[in-house]
Amino acid sequence: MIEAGSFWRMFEWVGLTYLLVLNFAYFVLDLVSFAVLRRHRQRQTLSVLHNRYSNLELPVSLIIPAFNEEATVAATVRSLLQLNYARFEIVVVNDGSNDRTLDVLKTAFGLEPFPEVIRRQLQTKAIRGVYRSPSHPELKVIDKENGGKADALNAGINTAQYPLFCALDADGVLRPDSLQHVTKAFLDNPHTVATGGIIRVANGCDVVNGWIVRTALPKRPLPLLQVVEYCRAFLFGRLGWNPVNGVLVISGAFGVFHKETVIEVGGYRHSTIGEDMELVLRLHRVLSREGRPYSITFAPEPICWTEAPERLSVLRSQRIRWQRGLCESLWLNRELLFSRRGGWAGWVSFPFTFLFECLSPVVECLGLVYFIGGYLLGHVDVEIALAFLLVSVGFGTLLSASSLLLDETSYHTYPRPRQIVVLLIAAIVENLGYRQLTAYWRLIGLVQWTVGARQTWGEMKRTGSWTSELSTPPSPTTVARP
Amino acid sequence: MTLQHILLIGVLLTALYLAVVLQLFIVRFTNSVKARRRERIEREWLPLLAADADVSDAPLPELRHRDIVPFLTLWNQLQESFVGDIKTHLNAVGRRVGIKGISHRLLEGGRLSERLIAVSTLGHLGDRDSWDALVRMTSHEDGLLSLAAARALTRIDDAAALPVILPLAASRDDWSRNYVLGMLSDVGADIVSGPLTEAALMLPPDTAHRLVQYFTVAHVGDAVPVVRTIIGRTRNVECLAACLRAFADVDHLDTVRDYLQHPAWQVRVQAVNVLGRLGSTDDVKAILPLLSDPEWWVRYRAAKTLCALPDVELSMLRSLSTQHDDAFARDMLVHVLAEARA
Repeated sequence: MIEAGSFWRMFEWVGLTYLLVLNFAYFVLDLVSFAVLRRHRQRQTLSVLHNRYSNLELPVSLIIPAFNEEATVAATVRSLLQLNYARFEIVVVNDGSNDRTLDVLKTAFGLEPFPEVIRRQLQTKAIRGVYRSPSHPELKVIDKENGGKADALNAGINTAQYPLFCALDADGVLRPDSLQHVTKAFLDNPHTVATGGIIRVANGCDVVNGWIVRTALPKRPLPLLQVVEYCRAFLFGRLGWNPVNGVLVISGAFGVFHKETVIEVGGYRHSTIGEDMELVLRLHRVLSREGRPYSITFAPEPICWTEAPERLSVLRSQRIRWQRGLCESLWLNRELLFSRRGGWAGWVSFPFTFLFECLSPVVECLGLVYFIGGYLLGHVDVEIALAFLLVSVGFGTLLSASSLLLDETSYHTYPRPRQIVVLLIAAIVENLGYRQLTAYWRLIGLVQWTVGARQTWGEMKRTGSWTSELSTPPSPTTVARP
Repeated sequence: MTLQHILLIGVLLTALYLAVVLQLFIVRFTNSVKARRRERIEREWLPLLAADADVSDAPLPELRHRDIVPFLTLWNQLQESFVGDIKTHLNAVGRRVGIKGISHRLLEGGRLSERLIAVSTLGHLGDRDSWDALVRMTSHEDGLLSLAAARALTRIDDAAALPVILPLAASRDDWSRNYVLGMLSDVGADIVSGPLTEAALMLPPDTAHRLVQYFTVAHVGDAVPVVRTIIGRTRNVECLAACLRAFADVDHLDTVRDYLQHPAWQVRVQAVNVLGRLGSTDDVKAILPLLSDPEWWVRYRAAKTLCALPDVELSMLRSLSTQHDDAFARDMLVHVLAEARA
């Protein structure tokens, strides 16, 4: 029989060890990301020289699921029409919007009904109509009954005519060369089935006609903290898995996929919250099980900006949803875990994600309550409580700062010294409350998923307030390159 | 664990944080120094490198060790951007600066970026002394480096490079099809056509498509007999589809018509595409059943082909789009006719 005191001592050490291992694992990912970025930049040398191959890019269908996006959808489509890419089409899928999304598109682009025969390879809700624009032949709008984002994406895949498709959020802001960067993996490696890129926070940036013309930091604290968080999540949370084909997440905000392979594995799953992660995990699971050579990679260039939540309530529901999506995706693809042919994805990335991303809110929240509460009640030694806080906050701050260093080494996104100072302060502040708060929300997500609570979609009403329109669109060459 | 230990960890973490911050500002500083260096190189060298006039006697700026990579980058960019006599001029300036020796050194012991730029430089210089090293490099495990070496070889001696490159193009999975296609296009059909078609013929029939896919850069006269031979030897779907894509033999369209009923839709769709390119009104009868094909792409291409065939009346297709027995065929004709109107 273990004494109560011994049990709690053991609990304390398990908690501390978990945090140490977690931070060490992230530190290793961080180092790998530095190496990946260095090698990536070296390989870029040839791209700089061989511009002439830029017209050999594979054609891409950009699929934009739109649900109540009347505020931003027209500006997004306008900016996409100016993308610097050889051959692409834009497929906007109006997923039964209650607002004027379809009317806005009809008016802005002079859409006319088109008798399209749809190649129904993936099951979707009924299509009400297809529209094309005589002035923009590369634009197609699908109007369908509401079925959710996954359903809209599947409808887009059914109508896409090119071998690659790019899933893009309706409020996503790209660079003129974003597609070139992200599709390069398909040119370099014929076995590539999916690639994603770094998503940045657009709040605070100057966006004109759907283009970022000046990168700046958000003025409000909540999106500012998310800038650091996104840096950490994308720059080493994902890039670090690149060399071993272990990337498990490609953001739904911007990801490019090989269409036929996605159709083969069944497209996006309707019943999941995290349809983007679930699809990538399923690709890993199915392709590795079949022993097919494949590659899922991550392009380190900052290629897409998106609006981050500015209100706590919206952020809360977003994080709960993300955590539920994560749990659900891992559970649905648990067959990948330690599967014989699972490779790094099955043997390392999957258990890593389960242990350190799925379960971490439990340890972080319980640990925080236990150590602070225990210390206040006199049950926990001050040394242990301090050690817990130090590992949790100190390492977190260090990792956040190193992700800023990664960004500076590679893409120099924020050019002014003052911005770097602000971000370094944010990297500290982020660990003093914000991270703990998001851990709590993630814990709620985990609990909700475990008890099977009904899925509810937190709605983030896009205001489009950070975008503006000029009568004359800026030339893509004048658009700021971060 | 004592308070002393914790204090030590705290100090260590703070020191590491400050080291990261310091490193961040050092990186920022060195990047700005590099950017200024690039600007200076452009300012000093661009007028000389892009000059119309003869500058063979003009004094050249000093090229310091740290200027080498930005200089070579600029020099290569200009080589890629221009055609004609200016390349001779660029090579002359390059030789005066000694970039051949520099590139040989980088090729042997440089970082990946330096090796890539050295390979590209030696290619543009047409440096035969580096031939053997570049041939060895085409077998390098890094696909990008091997492809860059292949490109350099074609620049040095395109005809001699093809026997080295073509077997690799057929066997290396990590060589991007589009890059290879671009490279062969740059070499040109006159030089590529014979070796490419012969190499394809030498491959086992089921893998010949790996080279047949590049036949778009070959002369029709060379490609046609080879495609005809391979198509008669293989049952591989991928290979048949590639052969049909490259099919340009008007006299042997009966072979193509046989494939309209092939069990694999990838083959049927290519066969109907060939008829769209080379067929006549005589093919309408053979194409019409494909409007009811179970595969969307076959129906779509069949309808597109009917629209594209010479002497096929649009009015006939319009009436077919309302009277055809099969709803799938009717819908597809309406779709394609609407596309044609747009």
